[in-house]
Amino acid sequence: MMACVRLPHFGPGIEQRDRPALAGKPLALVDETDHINDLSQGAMQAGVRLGMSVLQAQAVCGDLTLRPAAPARYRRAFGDLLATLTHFSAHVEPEEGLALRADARRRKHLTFLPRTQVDAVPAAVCYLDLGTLPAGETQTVARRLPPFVQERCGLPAAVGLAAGKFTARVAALLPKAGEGLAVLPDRSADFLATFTVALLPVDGETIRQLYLLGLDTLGDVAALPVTAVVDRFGREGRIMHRLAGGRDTSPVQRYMPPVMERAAHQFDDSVEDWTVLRAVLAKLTDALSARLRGAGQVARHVVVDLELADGSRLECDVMLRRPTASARSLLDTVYELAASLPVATGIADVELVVDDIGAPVARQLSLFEREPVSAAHLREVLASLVARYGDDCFYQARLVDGEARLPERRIQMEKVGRR
Amino acid sequence: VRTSSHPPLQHVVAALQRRWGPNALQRLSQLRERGFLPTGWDALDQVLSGGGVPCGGITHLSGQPTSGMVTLAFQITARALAEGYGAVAIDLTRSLDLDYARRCGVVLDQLALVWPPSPRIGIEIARDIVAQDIAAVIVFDATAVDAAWDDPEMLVRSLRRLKAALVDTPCIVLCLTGTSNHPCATAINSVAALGLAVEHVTWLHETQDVVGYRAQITVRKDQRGSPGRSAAISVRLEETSHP
Repeated sequence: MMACVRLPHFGPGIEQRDRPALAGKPLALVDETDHINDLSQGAMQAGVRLGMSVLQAQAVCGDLTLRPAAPARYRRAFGDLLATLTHFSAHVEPEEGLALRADARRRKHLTFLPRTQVDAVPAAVCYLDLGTLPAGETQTVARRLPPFVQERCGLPAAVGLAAGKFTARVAALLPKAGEGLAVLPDRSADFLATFTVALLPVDGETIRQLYLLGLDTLGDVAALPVTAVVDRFGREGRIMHRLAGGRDTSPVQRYMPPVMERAAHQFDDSVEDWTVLRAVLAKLTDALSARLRGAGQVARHVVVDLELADGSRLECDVMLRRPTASARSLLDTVYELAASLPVATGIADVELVVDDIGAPVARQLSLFEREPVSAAHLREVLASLVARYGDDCFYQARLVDGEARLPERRIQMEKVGRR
Repeated sequence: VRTSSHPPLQHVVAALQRRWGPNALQRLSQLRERGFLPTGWDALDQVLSGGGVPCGGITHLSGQPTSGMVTLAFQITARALAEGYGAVAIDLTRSLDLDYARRCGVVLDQLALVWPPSPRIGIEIARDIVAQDIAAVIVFDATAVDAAWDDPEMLVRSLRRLKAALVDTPCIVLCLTGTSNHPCATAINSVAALGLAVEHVTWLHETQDVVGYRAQITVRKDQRGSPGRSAAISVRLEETSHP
């Protein structure tokens, strides 16, 4: 059996957990461009939507509380939860890594999708492989898993249990946060039959074509002969047919916790003197650098996390152009990050985190002017840039059918994956 | 070396070039000025100081849609790709027509596409690509960018950093903008080594069909020459779906 653990409104939930004064209030997280990055259920009910500008959101909801988003902290909290879930199973897999991408944002280009049934709530999602469970035990696990998650991370989770990942993912959409739903293996196809095809993990163009063919529900797709779906959609059609029929055999990967180094300092009394803070930052950076150099490794991602005297937290992070273990480089970065934070009161606690750790890579300087660059090398370098700028920026075009009548069918865009 | 029998010398040169790159060893007679890449239109190259667009600098192309600006950018990109290097298109409005690029001769396997969230991040990415030395041409398409999208001062600062990173590199950055009085265009023009304004002049007809168009390209800024010169180019559309 596979379990899908879905934590809706994860980022705002972490903020409200760490700062109880925010609990129950409509809360929205704001990104660097002053747009809504994530929001609580209260804010969503008040009409605030992802991607709105701050002014738009405040116009919609007058008592909206705004907080700067701290994605690195949410990733760490999610990582802690994944590590905890390994008590249930060694096979724990986050959906799309630890990116915590909001489902609604991923599907925002699919404007024709019906609002019902599609998961429009931003959520952190992970899967567990629970092995073989007797029928009676399935219901028990479905009941026990949500309280366990809430106890460990302080956030309510919706849990779906089914024979495959896809069915479990759909099942996790139905129960309220803090509850679970189990779908028995022989009921998977019946359970999925009434859901929209928009839930299938395929591109928007394929879903559009499914609608044009009159295939509105997963049951409509499953009822077709597999050869008909394969003739029309190729290999992707076979996968769609299998998923729609509740026969998802994709495994849950074994969980490999990300390697990171942390160093923290708690002040007895909150400090406002930057000289003191700089001295502490230097000490923490030296410790991190020594650990990295001792292990013969370099880090690419640096996070500075400050807890202020009023209980609020400020966080800033940067993905370095070149990974480093140098104390000097790390310290310059940390100073710059700390100075960029809008600290209004005293600082009670400071934490430095370096992750995306790996072995250093030597760089051979060329003797003469450069040689022609192969497509593979171009892709490799772009993959390293993905780590810095995110995976939504870099694409490579692939010629599918140069003579196709519709221009959008001639060329297919493929995301460049992270190295 | 016996120069009377060319094959042995050619073999040695070819072997060295295979191992160390095409620029490792060349005959003096084949050596051309490296600082510029010809555009492919002789009339235009003649009015450009250096005979082409500058390597290691920013070239600003401004013009309205269908003016021929994108065609010019794709033609230059295709010429650079023909020498075996890569190219990157930074597409701010996600509107670049890659099918048209292909028809202009751009090899898609050698082209990477970047969709940055803002012009400033697009320029930062361009700077990283220049530092990695993987692309001969970077096309920065800001044709339909919203004026209020980014802080102009931040944009200028980022562009200056990009300009500094380009020094002594063979990379060509082509920045495409709409009208030249757009804030984004003003910022780009301030750091450009070469500024070209592209204007549509007339459509070319054969019987009832449009088979191409004529465009006028005026040099608005040239750090090595005088501005104001112009050239007319004709673009045939036999191989393309639209200009």
